[in-house]
Amino acid sequence: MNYGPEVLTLFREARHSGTVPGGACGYARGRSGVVEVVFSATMADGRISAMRYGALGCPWVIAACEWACREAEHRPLRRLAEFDAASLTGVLSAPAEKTGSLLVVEDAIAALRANLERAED
Amino acid sequence: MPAEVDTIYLDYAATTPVDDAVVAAMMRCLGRDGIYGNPASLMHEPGRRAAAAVVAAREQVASLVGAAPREIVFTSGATEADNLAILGAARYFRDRGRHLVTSRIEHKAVLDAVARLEREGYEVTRVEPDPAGRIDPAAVSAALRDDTLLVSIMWVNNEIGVVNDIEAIGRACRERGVLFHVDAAQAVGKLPMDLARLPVDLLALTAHKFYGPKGVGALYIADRPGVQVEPLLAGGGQERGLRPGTLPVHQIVGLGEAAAIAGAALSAERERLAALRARLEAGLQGVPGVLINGAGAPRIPGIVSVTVSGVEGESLFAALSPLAVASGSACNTTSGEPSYVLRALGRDDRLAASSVRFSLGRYTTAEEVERAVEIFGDAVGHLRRIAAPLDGRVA
Repeated sequence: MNYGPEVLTLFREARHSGTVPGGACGYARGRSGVVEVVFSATMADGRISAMRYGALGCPWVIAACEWACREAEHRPLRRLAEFDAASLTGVLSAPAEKTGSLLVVEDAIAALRANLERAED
Repeated sequence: MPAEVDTIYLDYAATTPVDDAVVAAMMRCLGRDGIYGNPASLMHEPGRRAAAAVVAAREQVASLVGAAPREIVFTSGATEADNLAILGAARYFRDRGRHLVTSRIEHKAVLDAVARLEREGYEVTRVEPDPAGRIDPAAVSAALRDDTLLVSIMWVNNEIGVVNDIEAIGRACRERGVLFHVDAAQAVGKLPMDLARLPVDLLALTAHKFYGPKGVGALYIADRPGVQVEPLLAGGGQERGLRPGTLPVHQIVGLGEAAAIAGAALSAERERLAALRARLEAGLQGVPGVLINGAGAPRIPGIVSVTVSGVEGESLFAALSPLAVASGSACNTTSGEPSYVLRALGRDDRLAASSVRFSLGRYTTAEEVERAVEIFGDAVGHLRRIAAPLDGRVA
């Protein structure tokens, strides 16, 4: 598999892997069980103050999680709505066969967003 | 994560670099000043020189495996040799029987040849390996029937390096009058071999697994009554009509030279690789959740297969990227499917996908082994840290 330099950098650095203590969570698991993703995040002043992830999956999944955390931190919650599988595929130049794996990332982000909204209410 | 470094090649079971002395021998056959003649053209000097080079190479190959030169038929590699043995014997002896025995963990060259015969109406029994990946001679013996024509079992498994008891399996075949074919692609040049005293009828080998060129190999056909194959190709009478086509002299000379070098170095190289393997295994087993595949069975010193829990296979290989290692069989990775060998040993798909084959060779150094252990530990640690927030959820 040929990974672009950005994917490899995100995969290798993985600076946002981990957990935000006391944060809301969003979890998703692929049908085959090979891909699992969990995000956690906290809000402050209507913005995402910290966001972390845990992932079991291919480099595209890990890179997508890392990218999403970097892009979401310090931005309004609605930013998360833009992180769907199609946008992740485009940003990472992921091959079509990785769409299923990136849908798991999308589901986990959607679950996180819902839980953060609930916590904000 | 470690920074990118020069590749450390630990995939010698997939293929080996061509030895410099082999390259030099091959070069002597190329170019206008080389041994360029057609070895079938015995009426002139260039042809006779080529024929002499082929004779010498045949003797070198025969010597490596303990055979007589007349028992060596040159082919394009082990895949062709396996096909010639299996399809050729089945067709030559089509009236003798319609049943074949093999194992579930043979190389695809054998499994696909046998499957072709199955489609042509032959019956096939595929023996299961024991938990360590070894084929029990008693299981092969129990599978034999009155109409069994041929048994095909590999000498060394290409994914896990387990060595089968070829002598015991061959003896069972000989007692029942059944032909015995051995895929020895991973064994030749690595294990001492004396086919003159072993009950083996047909044996496939390939040069590129022991520092020779790709595209050339051989089939050993025991010179004894009742051992014969039907050629797969029609053409000239080369190789006693069993493998027609103008002989690629430079390739054959390369195979011969590689055989001579491997034979001379075999004993010392086995000891050296065994020491490196011990070091590698000790280091890998220092990483929690690592299992050695084939542990408990006799294994060739050059191959170490491990299964790692708690990581995803594709990411593991990406994280190991400075290491040139294999995910199961190199010949199988194009399919993207988890290894059928490891699944036969009871590994589930996820574990089979997160398995790594390290294969050591002539140019592997102790420093490379130490570095490989370090990179492996770092890679597994990196991926487990990323997966850690899933603890309690990870299947």
